[in-house]
Amino acid sequence: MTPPDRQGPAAPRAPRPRGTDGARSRAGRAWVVALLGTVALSTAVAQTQFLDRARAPRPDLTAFRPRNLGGYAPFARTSVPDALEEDAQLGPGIRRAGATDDDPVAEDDLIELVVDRGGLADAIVLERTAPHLKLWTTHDRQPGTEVPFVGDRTAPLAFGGGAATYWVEWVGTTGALGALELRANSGGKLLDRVVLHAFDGLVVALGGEGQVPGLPVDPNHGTFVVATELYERGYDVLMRDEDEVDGTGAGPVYDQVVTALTDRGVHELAVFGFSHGGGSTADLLARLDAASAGLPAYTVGFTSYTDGVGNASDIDVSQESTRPADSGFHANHYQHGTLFEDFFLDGTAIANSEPPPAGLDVETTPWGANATHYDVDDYVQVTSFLLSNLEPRVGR
Amino acid sequence: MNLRAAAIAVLVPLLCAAPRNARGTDWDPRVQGAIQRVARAADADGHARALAALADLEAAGRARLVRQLFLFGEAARDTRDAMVFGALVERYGWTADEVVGPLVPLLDGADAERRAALARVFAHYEGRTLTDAADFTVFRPHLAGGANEAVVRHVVEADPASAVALLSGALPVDPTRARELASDAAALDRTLRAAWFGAGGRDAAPDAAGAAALARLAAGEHWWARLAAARAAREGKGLAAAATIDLLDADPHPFVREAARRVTRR
Repeated sequence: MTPPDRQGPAAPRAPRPRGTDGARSRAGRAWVVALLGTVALSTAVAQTQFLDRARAPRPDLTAFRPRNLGGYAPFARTSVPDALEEDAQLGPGIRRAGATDDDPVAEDDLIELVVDRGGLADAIVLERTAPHLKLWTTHDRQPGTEVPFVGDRTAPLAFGGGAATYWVEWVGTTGALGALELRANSGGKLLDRVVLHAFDGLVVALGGEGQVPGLPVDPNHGTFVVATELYERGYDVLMRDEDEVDGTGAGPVYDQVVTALTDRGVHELAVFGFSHGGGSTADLLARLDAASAGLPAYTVGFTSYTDGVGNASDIDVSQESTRPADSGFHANHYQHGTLFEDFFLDGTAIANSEPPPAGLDVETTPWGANATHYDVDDYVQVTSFLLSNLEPRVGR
Repeated sequence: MNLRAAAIAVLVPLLCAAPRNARGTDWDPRVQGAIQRVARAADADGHARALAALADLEAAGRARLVRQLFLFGEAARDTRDAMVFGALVERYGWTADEVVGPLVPLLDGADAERRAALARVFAHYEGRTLTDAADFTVFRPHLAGGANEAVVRHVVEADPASAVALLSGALPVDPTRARELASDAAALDRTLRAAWFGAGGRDAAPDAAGAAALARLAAGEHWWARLAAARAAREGKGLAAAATIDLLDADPHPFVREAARRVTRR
């Protein structure tokens, strides 16, 4: 629930200097006591009002971040903060649903929307600002569970208790923004509002061999830490095991990227990976490039290898040395392997990478001097470089 | 016999039994411990000693070490452990036969997850790329005695067109029929590449030659040819139709049915 705007009591003026004679002193002390008492009372009243308003429920919409593979995993079920729910970038994102959209496990493109009536006795409705938005009471669009709009307005919403859960669908592959507004049925007073941005972009994050995305996110899996941050900042993110990309780029990740391009109106990609995830980044984009004649146009605004290792197989230990196909900006961080520390596993310099000219050998920095293959992905300097360079280059 | 003695009599044999991993394959605690000491050595000296101990194991039984390394990697939950197998393959300079041979028996009765993990190792020796088909030469010795069904299932899953080419030459097949199958394999390869990389996209219908090849494979007398058709059907709706996938859904061979149902029940 959005905390009400609150303003603290006015700062009390400094009491007048104490008088030198007794009468003035007594009056001054009395004045101070009265002033402080007034301040205390005002504070108490304001705090009570705040607490009352905090305790008092009010009608509210809460949207959640996207689902994956039929549920929320490998991300946590994450609500969009109230302060961001109308932000066209950081607010709730939603996948467009083309007619032939192919979900790998089960329908997972609808956005969860919790409507809290907030103790309001009067009937409340939802209004939409874009015809693309449909509403369901089931996450997988079971027959008979659509909530119809008439003139972009629902009938009064039904509540079994104080809150009800709905599922928002974006129909078709066009359109950018759409809002859902919670309104009083009588009079139409606006009670709350969420603005959904239809995803133009897709982020693919691939960890190293043996790194499987899970909950809670492992702080030693820097790639997944970045991916989770992006998810919470309004991106659609495929956070996956690099095993889902084979040595030719094929596999479930490729299939999902193609579906996004062909059926969901996505046209901006970001792909990054650590170790074998770097090799898979190269393989995935090479395959997309080879298949581009049969795909809608797309751009690859950002890519990254962190100590990229070739991923032709699970026992491939070669350096990934090719710049990813079609990348508009390729970040490359690497270190130098040794026998004892990491069996000589390492990435390498790649021409036309960032930081220029060929990426960053982190061992040339004070913070990365002792980096190994197994921790180079965890440095905050690396993860923040990815975040700060991806966001300006790839739309949500 | 008192309760304590009875407990010992029951528990000791159980505890001494070779532990099995979740997929029922024995793994050798002694070798696993030696691998772990290499992966987790605290310092360079310890690492050197652990490598020396592992070298002794390698000399005593390379095949066993290869299998145990695969199991170690399969169970890995971080990059350090997961990369040990590849690092040691590189270090010891093992040949394709020295790695693939000990692992082929693990295909027998393997579940889908185990088969996929083995496939990701075998891929190292198959040379399949965006432009090059798989080379399954390393599996020929394992087909000398006839169709090793587990091997056949693997190669068809990895590259159905190359698999048909391999099997038509490696298995006892009438020479005339073998030539027809090799021709169909080549047509299947072209058809798959058109689906993957052509302007029509993955769901486009195949051309006449490709459709005919798929239909012949799907109706063939050899189960592995029908399996190849079912596998190819997964690559696009047009291919599925040409492969008469609905008929393969009821095929007499279980591998063919399983492959077809991955398409029909999607």
